[in-house]
Amino acid sequence: MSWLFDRISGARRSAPSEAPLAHPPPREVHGSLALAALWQELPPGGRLEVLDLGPPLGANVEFWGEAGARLHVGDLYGSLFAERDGSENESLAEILDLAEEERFDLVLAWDLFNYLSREEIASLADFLRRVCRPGALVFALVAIGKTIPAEPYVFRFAGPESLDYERRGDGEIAAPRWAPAEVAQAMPGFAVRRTFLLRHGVEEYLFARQG
Amino acid sequence: MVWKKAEEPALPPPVQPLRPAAPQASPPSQPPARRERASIGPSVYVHGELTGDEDLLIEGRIEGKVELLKHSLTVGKSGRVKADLYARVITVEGEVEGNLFASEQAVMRPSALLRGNISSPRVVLEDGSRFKGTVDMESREPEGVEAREPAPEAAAESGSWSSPAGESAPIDPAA
Repeated sequence: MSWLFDRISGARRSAPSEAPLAHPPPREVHGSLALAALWQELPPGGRLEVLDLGPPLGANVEFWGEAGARLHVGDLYGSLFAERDGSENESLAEILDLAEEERFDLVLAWDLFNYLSREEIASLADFLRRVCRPGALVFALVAIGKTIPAEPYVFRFAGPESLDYERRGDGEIAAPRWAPAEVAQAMPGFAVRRTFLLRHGVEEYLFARQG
Repeated sequence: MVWKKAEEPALPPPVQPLRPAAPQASPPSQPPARRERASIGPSVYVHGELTGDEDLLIEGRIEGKVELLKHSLTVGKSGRVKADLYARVITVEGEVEGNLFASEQAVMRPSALLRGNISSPRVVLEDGSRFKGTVDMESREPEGVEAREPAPEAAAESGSWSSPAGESAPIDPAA
């Protein structure tokens, strides 16, 4: 997992020093067309098993609880941005604290792809293929602008079809500017089920695990 | 002379086991005395299974299992727990490595650090809390836990675990 730490720590080095902010970072609520589609795409029946790669947030726990889902909070972002303590060689399963038998119907990757190379996304996809059931969905947002925040957004559900974007810090780094075909190729074992280009500079993806 | 009267100590009530003071001993504006919860102080280390019939605050170290099925359990900021926790309401302010089974509500405060699963019909994660694990809000009675009434003698033994500062010898309830 050292490649992930190198990537993210490099992003942090390019961010300005962490002085107290004069103004709190803005939060914005945006509609999500992919979420609207997601509820149509999810397999019917049974209890939904959700893997959230983002941080633990009360609003999201409450949202999935009300939906009757079982939510695993992996906080991959938290692990990546934590101080390096020799755990860089942990596997993704260890970082996410997943039991061997756990399998998921939905993965929330948020904007993680903005901070990974194509090879790193492929490595993540390989892991997700093992922990996702056939037909499971992966929800991801990819920036299409020139720059992105130095740290990933924090996303909260503001409703079944809208997300609250919270920006952390005010540093900026160059965006990867993935083309849709590049994103699709970076996720072997997954097919792009739906994509939506949103006005605020984000392309939303719904991937489906094949097989 | 008024302050002399104010300083005049009230006569202590006769020795009575575990009963609040008689109402006439307190000024009418104050509420009746509330029975305090049991507590495990920061210097205390317990290895084993804790059960009880009252609320409990943990500020020390626990390894094993804690079961307070009808009561509230709080892991304070100094608490370091490596155990599965069973209670009606569980509040975490310190560190827990283990699973939480709360029949009513589980609360993670901003200072909480939890590595384990939460099973409770209501879960509150306050921003800033660190958590990694699964949240299951459609919980039923956890397997292996029998809903039972503690024997009368066990209830009488579940008094305060507070230890005077400086004592850090481990306590083995099985001894």
